[in-house]
Amino acid sequence: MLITLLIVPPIFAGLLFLFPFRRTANVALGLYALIHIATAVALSARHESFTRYFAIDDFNILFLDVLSVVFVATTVYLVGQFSRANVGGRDPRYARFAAFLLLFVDSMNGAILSTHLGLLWVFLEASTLTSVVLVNYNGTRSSLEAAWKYVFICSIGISFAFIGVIFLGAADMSIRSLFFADLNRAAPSMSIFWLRLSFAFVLIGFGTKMGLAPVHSWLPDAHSEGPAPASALLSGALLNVALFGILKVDRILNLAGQSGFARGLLLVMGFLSLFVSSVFILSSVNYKRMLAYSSIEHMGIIAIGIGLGGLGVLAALLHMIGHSLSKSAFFLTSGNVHDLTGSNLIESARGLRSRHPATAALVLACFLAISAAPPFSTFLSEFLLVRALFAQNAVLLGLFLLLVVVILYGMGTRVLEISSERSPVPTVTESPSEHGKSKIPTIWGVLPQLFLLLLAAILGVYLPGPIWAALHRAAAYLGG
Amino acid sequence: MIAPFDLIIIIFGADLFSVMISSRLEVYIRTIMLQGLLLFVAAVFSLPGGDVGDIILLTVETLGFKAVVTPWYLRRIIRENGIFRETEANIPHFYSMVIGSALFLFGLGVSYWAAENLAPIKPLHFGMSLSAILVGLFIILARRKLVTHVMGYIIMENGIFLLSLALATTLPGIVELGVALDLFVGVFVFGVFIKRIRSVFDEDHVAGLTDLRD
Repeated sequence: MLITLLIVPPIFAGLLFLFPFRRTANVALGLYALIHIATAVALSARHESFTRYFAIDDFNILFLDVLSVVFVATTVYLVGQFSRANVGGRDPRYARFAAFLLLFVDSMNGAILSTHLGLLWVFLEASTLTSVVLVNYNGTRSSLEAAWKYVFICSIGISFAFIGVIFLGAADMSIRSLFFADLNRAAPSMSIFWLRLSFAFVLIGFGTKMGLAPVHSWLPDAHSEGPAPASALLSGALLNVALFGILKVDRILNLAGQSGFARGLLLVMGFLSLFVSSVFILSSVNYKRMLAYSSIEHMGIIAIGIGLGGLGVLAALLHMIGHSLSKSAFFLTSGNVHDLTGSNLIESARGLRSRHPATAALVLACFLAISAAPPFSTFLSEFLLVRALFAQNAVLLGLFLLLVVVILYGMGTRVLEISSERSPVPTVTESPSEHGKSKIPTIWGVLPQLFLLLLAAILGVYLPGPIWAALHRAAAYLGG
Repeated sequence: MIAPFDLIIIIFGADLFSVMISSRLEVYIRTIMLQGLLLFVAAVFSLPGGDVGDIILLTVETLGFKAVVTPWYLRRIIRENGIFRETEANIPHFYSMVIGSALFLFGLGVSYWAAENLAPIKPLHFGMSLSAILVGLFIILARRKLVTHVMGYIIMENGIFLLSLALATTLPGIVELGVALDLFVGVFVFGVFIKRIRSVFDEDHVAGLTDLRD
């Protein structure tokens, strides 16, 4: 199993560098998506400890499953819809994109599976380096700028996380190890001073990657400049992996009896993220940037849930799943919108209904899914979160609801402009792509999103027993 | 009597002042070079009975990579691009000096204030590392050229490396992780990127990178 998760992607990627054809890239991606989901399903049924450094447990299986689902849907979109824009035959640019996508998934697999803090840190750093190529796929001025900001700011973040790792080592000189098992065992006797300092640095460092305010500034650029499938993976999978890193260290603080400190910091960053995203969503003119700010919002909501503890942790984990499903669907749909209008501006996407009804309907459905409308699972998780907030602090509850409503208004008006209004002036109709092929979305540009939304709706209406139990086990692992 | 190790750390810190006041990029490069040499000596002191593999790795990293390859590469970049000065910085150099000194005092002050908590790390060691990290961040914020940003990042990284040396004997693997950080970021990314950005933007100011904003 470890071979399929860590060894196969680099081999496939290497083959793609040798045979840079569109078809080989699609075959490699499709094949690996199948392998990945099969592995994830098998591991969900039976947890496994591979080596000293890699293991599957009650907690990280959740993240692997979410990654797998998002990856499969993205691959279907990529192979069926996105790669149509490229002519067949030799296509080194697309093959390189596919190769780095595989390496990117590989690094996320590694981060999720690792049982060693240093290893987790290395894989997170690797995930930045592999995904920066995806962000810069278009090779334009703005995508290069976004890629540079992404890699530079996240590198500073990852350095901060490294300082946090050093401090965690200083918290207990006797264990001489960075294995989570050893750290958890030694937690109660660790130096509180170093432990708190360590968490603050890790939170800022991995929080940069997770897109929490005030260290989120790279995220709107990178998520909006990459092609749609890259954005879907960055938003739907990578943010979770950064969250995973924070939660692993958060658990050490919980075991050391320092949960109050960690929760306070998480609540501050969570509310700050909600505030920042509400301001920018209200003034957004670019729908992809709006989606990126919405990701910051939802990471904030998850941080608040973890910060509340108890029921909030369960809500946060469920919310993470709901966000991944609906946001990656939304970003994939934004690829359709871009194909149809040739622009990322809300202005030029107005009146989409008369141009491509299916995409317009998808935009609306994704908006409902992301903004916690029933029957989607985000409704359930935000409902649980509100209950947890209600039990703890009425002022925070008021603030939370206010900010969420502001964001809902900001996104809602813009989404309705795109999906419902009839086009006032028929602007540019079907713009043929550079290669002369029409870019009207096919069935493959619709099905993956439908699949993701359906999954989100099923989880919202009827949470199957095993998934509910898995969520509870994961929350219990965190001490929630 | 000052212990040799402390002396190295003090020189490391004092050297930071030269980057704060100077606008000449050559000075930055010399500072980075000197830091590499000092980190090599500090690493030798920190690993009294380390195994051979560790010593070889640290020598290659500090003496080879930090003191020779990085300065050489940076110098090549500034020669090729004909940029020798950091002009029109966001913050004038005199104020940089004031702010830099304040950061320095802050770093040392914090470490002496928290001295009793710092058990495994010496206050001087901790304070100098913290100052280097802060000064590196400050350079990134205060200067405008991409190359200077990268230099600020390297100075910050050197501070982190110095900090990790405090745990070199008690936490196996920590120094290797620092090396990984250096290699990943330093070589591949920044080296490749500065070239590409120059070819697309025809300038190496951050001022060119302002297409994306809200």
